[in-house]
Amino acid sequence: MKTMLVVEDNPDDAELLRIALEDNDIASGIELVTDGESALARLGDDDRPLPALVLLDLKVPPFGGLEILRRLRSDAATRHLPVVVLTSSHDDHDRLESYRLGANSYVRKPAGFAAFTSTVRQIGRYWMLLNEVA
Amino acid sequence: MTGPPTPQRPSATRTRAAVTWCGSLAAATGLAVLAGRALGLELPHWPLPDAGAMNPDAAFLFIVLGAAMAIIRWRERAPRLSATAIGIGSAIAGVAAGSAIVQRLAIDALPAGKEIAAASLFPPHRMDIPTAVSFLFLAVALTLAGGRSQWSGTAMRALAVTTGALAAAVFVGYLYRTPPFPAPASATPAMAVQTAFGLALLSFGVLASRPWGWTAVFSRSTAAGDLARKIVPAGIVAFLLIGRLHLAMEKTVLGPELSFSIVKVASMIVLIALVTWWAGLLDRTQAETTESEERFRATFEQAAVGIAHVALDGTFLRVNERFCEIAGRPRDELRGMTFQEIIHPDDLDAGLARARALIDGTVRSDSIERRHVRGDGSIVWVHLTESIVRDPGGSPKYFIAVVEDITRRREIEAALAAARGELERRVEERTAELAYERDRLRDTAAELLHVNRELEAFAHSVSHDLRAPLRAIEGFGRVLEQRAGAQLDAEARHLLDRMRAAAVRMETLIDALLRLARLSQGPLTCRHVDLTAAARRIAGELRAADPHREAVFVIAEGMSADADPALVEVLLRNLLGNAWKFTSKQARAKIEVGTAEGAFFVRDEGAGFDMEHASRLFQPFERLHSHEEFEGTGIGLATVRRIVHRHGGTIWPEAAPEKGATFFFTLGTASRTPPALPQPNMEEP
Repeated sequence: MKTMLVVEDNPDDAELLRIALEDNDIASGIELVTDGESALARLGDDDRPLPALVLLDLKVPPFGGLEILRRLRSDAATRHLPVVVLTSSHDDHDRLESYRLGANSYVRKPAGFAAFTSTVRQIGRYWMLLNEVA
Repeated sequence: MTGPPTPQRPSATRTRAAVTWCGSLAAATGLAVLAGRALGLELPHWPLPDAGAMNPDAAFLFIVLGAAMAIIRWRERAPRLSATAIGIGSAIAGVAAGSAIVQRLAIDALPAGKEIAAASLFPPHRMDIPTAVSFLFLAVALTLAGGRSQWSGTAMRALAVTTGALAAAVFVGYLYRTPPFPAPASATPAMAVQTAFGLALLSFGVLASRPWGWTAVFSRSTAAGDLARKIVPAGIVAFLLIGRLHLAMEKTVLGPELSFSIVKVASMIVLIALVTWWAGLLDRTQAETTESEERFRATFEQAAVGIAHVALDGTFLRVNERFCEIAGRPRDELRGMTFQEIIHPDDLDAGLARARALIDGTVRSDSIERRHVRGDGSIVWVHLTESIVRDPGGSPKYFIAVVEDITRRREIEAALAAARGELERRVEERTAELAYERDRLRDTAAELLHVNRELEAFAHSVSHDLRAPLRAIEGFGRVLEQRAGAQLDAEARHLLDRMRAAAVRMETLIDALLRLARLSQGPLTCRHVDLTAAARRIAGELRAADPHREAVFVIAEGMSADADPALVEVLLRNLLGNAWKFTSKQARAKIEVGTAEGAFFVRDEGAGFDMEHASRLFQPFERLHSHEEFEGTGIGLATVRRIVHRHGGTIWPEAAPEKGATFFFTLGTASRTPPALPQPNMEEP
């Protein structure tokens, strides 16, 4: 069973993300961690299989999403792990940095929930692809 | 004799000429006699047939000695060669003359003399003793002529004078037809007239080869030499004539005593005439000298610079008017002073050292600037040129000092130096001030930069933190609507919508504020920006977003500016966006972008506004229209103005209600001053 790891510290954002995913028919297999260290521990745990996708918020404590991404990409086990970066900022710098560090996709969190849901749809499609590839 | 030629020295040219002529003439005479004998001509007896004939031995010796004498002219150029030649010639002549004397004595003294002579090594000589002795003397004298010592000179002259006097006496005797030497008992003849003549020539030549004392007078280039060369020959001729006259008169009726008296008187007259002539020549020379002196004196006195002749011990020998002026003392006072007394004490040692150097000859002439003390005690700066005058022997005689008063120049130089010093001091002061200001500015700039960065970070984080709750409000509101919407009535759902709309609007505001804040940061990267192209593109995008609207964009060609392209993009987007928005209620909108009087403008004929409220236009969040009329954040124009100001330009509007609005702006190349806007009491953000 494929799992999706969500790294998001804001409980409101996390809840809204869950609802958006549910609206896009992704309900099961969602794991949530609320800080960077837990995320790295989960991904570094050899006893548990890697999730098929990581949704990474850029502004998680303690060292931010970009640093997590850098560590993931420098570890051979997680170098090719699909990562979608989530952020609320419009900062092009963040976007460029994310891609430079090897993020697979970049999603901005708009204020409007409807818009948010439609962007999450992209993730949903991607998720379905991953599931099909088994 | 070394040293530069002066008139007092015997003229080398004349000496050489004299010697060469005498030698050549003597040799020629000998040659002529020999040739005559060989050819059987009457030459030997010419001009006085009864005055004897030069014998061939004498002729031969004349050739030898004459040639040797002529060689003296090359004494300086080829000293050793000429000395050798002269030596050989003299030796031959000496030996020949000596053997002749010996033979003659032998013949006269010994009865068997002739046989002895015939049997001797040397061929028998036919010269008489006086001639032979003369030749011997001349040979020795010629050898001594090459010497340099005092005694060689004296000896040479003694020999030459003796020979010359003897020969002259014989010659004159022949002229007067009274040969001094009665024919001796032997058959040998007395000295012949040509011989006498030749011997006299040779004697004169030897004397001339080393001129000294009274013989040197004749070769000098001075007035005295000139006189000597004119008067002495004239005198000789005159006295010879008187002698002849005496001899002639003696035999006439006048008798010996009377003719003697007459001759004496005639001699006195001749003497007086000669002296008078000489005096006249002297006078003329004297006049020339006086005139030359006068010219020198005038030059010396009237020179515009001070000139002084100074003795070796420093005493003033002669000073001119200007020197007295510069020294500030009268002439009489200076005459009794020494140069050292008027030199400034600080410069005295250097001055004495220089004087010594001039005397020693280590420097030839020197120019320096130094101080002299005037009579009244004041100091005068002078430019001094000093040189030394030496006598022909090279010993120093006196100094010549030329001074110029350079006090004025020195004063100007000092003033200039002081002014320069003052200027430099001021420049240093100013530089220090500027450095201080610059440091302050640097500190301020650094602080500003720091503050700006902090502000940006702050704005960034604040906006992020502000957005999160907004997302929650909007998101959960939506979810609520979805999940429980069916249970809500229309009014409740409407309230929910309004709540969510407010959250969305707040996010838009935050974005706009963040953009505005970001505009303060970062340097402008100015490039050539094509405003026409940008305006066209933005117009196209606006049209594409709302294709159903009928609108006309009039965009002028060739608008460009040196500006930051990103910021210009934001500026145009805002202005054109506004124009697009405020003409949305019109059936057919016309939006214009162009230039007027050095400024750009964006004009629409839309809603417009009352100019009285124009001052509020550019404040953030101030809006002149209600939300019902036109939505908007109210940040747009504040952003536009920020961009314009960052480029160093200005922006101002012109509008009327329902008549549209025009926004003029410049990007740092303003040539039109905008009309003043009524300012609110608020401070600028």
